[in-house]
Amino acid sequence: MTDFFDELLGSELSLMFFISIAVWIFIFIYLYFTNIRLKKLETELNSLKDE
Amino acid sequence: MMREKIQKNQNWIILAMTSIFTILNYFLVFIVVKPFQGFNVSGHPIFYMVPFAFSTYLCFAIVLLSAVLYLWRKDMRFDLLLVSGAQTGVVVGVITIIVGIIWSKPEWGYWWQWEPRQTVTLIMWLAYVGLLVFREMMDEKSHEKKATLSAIFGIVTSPSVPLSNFVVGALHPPPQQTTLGPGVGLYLMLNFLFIGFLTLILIYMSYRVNKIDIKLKKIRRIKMEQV
Repeated sequence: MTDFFDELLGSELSLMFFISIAVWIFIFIYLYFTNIRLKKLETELNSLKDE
Repeated sequence: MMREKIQKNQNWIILAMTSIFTILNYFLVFIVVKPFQGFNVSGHPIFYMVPFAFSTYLCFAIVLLSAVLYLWRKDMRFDLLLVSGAQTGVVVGVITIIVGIIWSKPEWGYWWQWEPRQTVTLIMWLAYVGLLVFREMMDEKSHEKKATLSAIFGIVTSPSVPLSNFVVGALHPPPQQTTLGPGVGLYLMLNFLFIGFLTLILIYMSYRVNKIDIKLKKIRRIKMEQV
């Protein structure tokens, strides 16, 4: 298993590829869930305002 | 009109910016900048890790500043800024730690080694996670009390930030052991600016969410009292 990861991340190109993909995915997930929460809160606030 | 459009599509704009930044980084790292010396595999992740680490410090500095200003002025906007800074700092901190873990495997042969700087950074991150958990656990009735205790917590946890930066362990080579190619400083500065800017946008987004959340809690409380 150790050799597998050493080979996978062992070159400059693949190391940067995995790091940048990890960062991109993390930011995407964070934005996705923040957006869902924001929309949910805004809808709730609007419905309460209407009441 | 324009502002509404930007707010509506802000997530796509941020993602597009991040994607362009990633592609630009590939260009800078592999074509413009000469390879680094002093690393086993590559020193290139420095372009990601160091700016993200400093953005984490920026978030926690904002937490400290907001905590002091809240205790001084008792203005709820500073409390909102405190929570938003802590939330974003935790997110950016996770990115720093993940990049560090991926980088350290090919470079030093370990995913995690409990080396001083790694450990102190993890403690710093856990301290701010603790702040957010502690805040959520508190009684919602007295928001002022909640905000005051969060501000005190924010000040108490702040020494972990300089500690994490200045405690240098074996896994982090001191700068004099690594030689950076010509022009690296400039590209590193560009990354500092971009990631810093991205962090400020995330803080602003978080601020908006928290502002609506507090408004809703107030309305719910008033309704409950009426019932």
